[in-house]
Amino acid sequence: MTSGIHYPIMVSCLSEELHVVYGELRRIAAIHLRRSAPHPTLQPTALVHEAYLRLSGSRWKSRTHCLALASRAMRQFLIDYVRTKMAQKRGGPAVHVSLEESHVSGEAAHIDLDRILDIDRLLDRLAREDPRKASVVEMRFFGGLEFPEIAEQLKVSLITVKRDWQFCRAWLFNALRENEHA
Amino acid sequence: MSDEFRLSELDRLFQQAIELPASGRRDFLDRICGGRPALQAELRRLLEAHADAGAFLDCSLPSYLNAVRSGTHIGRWKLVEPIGEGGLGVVYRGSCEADGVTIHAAVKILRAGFHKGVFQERFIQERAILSGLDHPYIARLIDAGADSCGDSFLAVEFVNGRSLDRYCQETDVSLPERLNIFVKICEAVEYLHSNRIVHGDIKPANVMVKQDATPKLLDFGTARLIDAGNPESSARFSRLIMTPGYASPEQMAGLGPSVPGDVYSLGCVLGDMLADVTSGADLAAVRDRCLSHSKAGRYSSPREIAADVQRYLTHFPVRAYSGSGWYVTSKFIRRNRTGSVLATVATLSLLAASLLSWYGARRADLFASRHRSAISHLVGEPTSVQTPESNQRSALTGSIQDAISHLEEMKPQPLAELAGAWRRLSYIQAVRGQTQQGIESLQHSIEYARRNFASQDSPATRAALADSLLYAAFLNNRRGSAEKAGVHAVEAIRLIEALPAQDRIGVQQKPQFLYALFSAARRMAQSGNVQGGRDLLIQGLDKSRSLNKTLQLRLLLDLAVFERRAGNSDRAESYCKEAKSLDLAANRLRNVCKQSVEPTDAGKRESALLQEMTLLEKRLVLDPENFGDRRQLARLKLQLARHVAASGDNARAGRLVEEARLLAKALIEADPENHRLLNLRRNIERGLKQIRGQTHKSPNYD
Repeated sequence: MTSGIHYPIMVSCLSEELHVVYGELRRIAAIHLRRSAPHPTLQPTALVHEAYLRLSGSRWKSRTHCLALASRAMRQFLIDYVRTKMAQKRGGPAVHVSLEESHVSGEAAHIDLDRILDIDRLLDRLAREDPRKASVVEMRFFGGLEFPEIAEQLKVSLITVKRDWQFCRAWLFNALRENEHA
Repeated sequence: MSDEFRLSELDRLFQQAIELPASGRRDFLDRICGGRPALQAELRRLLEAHADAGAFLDCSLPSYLNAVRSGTHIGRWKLVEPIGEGGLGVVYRGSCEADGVTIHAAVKILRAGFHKGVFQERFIQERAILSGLDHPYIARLIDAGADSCGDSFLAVEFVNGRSLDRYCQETDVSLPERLNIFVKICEAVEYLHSNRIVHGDIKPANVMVKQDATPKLLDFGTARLIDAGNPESSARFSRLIMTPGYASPEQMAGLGPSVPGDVYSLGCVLGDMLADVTSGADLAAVRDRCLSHSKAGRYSSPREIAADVQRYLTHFPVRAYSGSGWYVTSKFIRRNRTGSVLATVATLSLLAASLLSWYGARRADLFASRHRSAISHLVGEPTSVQTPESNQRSALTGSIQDAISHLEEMKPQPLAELAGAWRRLSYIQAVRGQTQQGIESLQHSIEYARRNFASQDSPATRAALADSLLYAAFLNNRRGSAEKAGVHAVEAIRLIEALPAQDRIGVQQKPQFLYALFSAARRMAQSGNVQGGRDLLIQGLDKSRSLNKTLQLRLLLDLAVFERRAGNSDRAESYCKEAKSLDLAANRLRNVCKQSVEPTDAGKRESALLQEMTLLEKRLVLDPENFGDRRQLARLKLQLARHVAASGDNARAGRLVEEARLLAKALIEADPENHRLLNLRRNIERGLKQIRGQTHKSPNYD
């Protein structure tokens, strides 16, 4: 589980609301993953939106507030999911789970499950110095939100979000590369 | 993280460095990080990482996880790769082998977990709606079903292209091209509405644009029948799926999708498409009318929006913009430039689409048994395979050629239809830049029209022949064959003069007629009949006085040129004056006036800059907030300052730069992170420095 760093978007309301969203998300996702085995798929926006549908009518400040919250929950959920996969990988037959983005032409981008846990840890480190940047990555990478949605949620301009993302991408890439060499 | 610097500093320097060309970054780092090796090393690593990162994190984590499903099957579809994610599920590119042909489709999967309640209802509704739709700008339904796990799917025509927002960002799309795409989107939505369907989630991400600029509307997850179904559930659902920034105020307030809501969303799309190009206050007015808070203030249908945009494209005043006389007359000048005829032709090519369906139906009757395959190609049976190379226009060209070959086989030959079909074919060929083929098609058209006219002299056959001749004159002119153009034009004008008044007026208002008038006048003048040519123009001028002012201006200017050529400089001057008195600051006027004063090159440039500034300042009186115009004005002032400085007048140059600086400052205050503005400010500062530092030598401004 990620550490309890507070992100600026939801400082005051984090724990309780997040708990509700996370629980709901897990219930929904558990059904999906079981039903669609052996090829589990996850759809962030669909999950996030379905959680939103079930929870709408309760006390959320706005749609984006709920989406941001849900992408936080999604991060936790995905990290849990990856950990479970890793455990199965170690215990079970030696299946190499490599996540390959097949539709990017040219050099394919590989991300190993280990690296996702690294990214999660690095994000916490980033959040200590610049919480907004960490939020951008969380919403984009873990929550699958679009830049304009993120800008709206963080109340900054679109270009700021894009710059943050550009910086974070380089920063994370560099840090992962250093991890590998270390 | 090193103790010596903070992340914020790293970020700031990183952002500055990546703005520089790669070659200049090393120097920048050396300069900025003098004596701080740790910072410098970290920045260098970050810049390397930035360059090496490739597609790293471009896809969200869940999408990576989704890629796992690629390679599996659903129904008869092999899922090749995920290509997107809709509100309801993931969309894959799927392929399927049928009789040795590979068909591609966008396969949208609703996973079993969603199969309850509102999601399932929507998915079924989307399928039902799509199955009833058939429109060139709407992605077609190919297949639907479910697999053994209970996952449902929809297979929709695979559109090989980019989403509208990416298309506009990544390719260099001109304003008219953007507007033509937008008009097509409006047509698609109009088609939906005419089928009692509202879309409910129109946004750039839901429009795919093919290489040939054909848009295809996608994602009918929120679509619903007007006045039918379950309004409460659709409102609830629409709240869930709708996209802030594109949803109408009433939709945001919890009401379901509606026709005015779609109109509002189209306005948002138009606004997006205009965001990074310079456009005038009239288009902003079209957008704003779509975005009116009250439903009653909006256009009542997408067709109306399209009509107003078409008016803009053909340089008529738009209805949404109640501008001054100046606005109306400036449209007038624009209408009479060469491009305007092409725009009209583009509109006319839409007529060909209706021709296509007409022939489709008729031929389906006549040749159903003999020409099965040709007909299925023509009317677009759902099984036809969309290949990336095929595009709307070439398909249309093929279809019309097909139709022509069948019409030619018929006994007796339908002469009027053949003349019309060849003419329409030439419109499309001309739009595609195939002027030569267009002219050849017109020769056929003229031949059939002539035979038809000979067999039966009626206003209709006469007007049809004149139409083909007018267009032939225009195309020949475009190719530089002024002589042929003149011959056709003279004949066309003679035919038109013999038409009954009520038929004549319609033809004379066509832009082609105007061009023919000029071609004919020129031909007459060349063959020694200057008087006749002048009379033609004056006759046009008289007509234009009763028709509209813009025509008048164009004719005045041409008459001025004519008179000058004939040596009557006094009369030329008086026509020029009359034109000027219309107070029309536009290129055409500028060029003619420039020719008449014969200034030196430097003077020409200065007066051109000044005129352009005057034009902008006038526009700004009408629309003081216009961001693009204000920025352009600042740029022009800077340019003029440089020009003036080069000729030695530093005091005036200084004043101009200062004005530019103030303009830019106000703009930057409103939009502090705008790259273009920041660049402009840099240039202004550089200009300021150069002008101040300049004493003897001429500065080099590049």
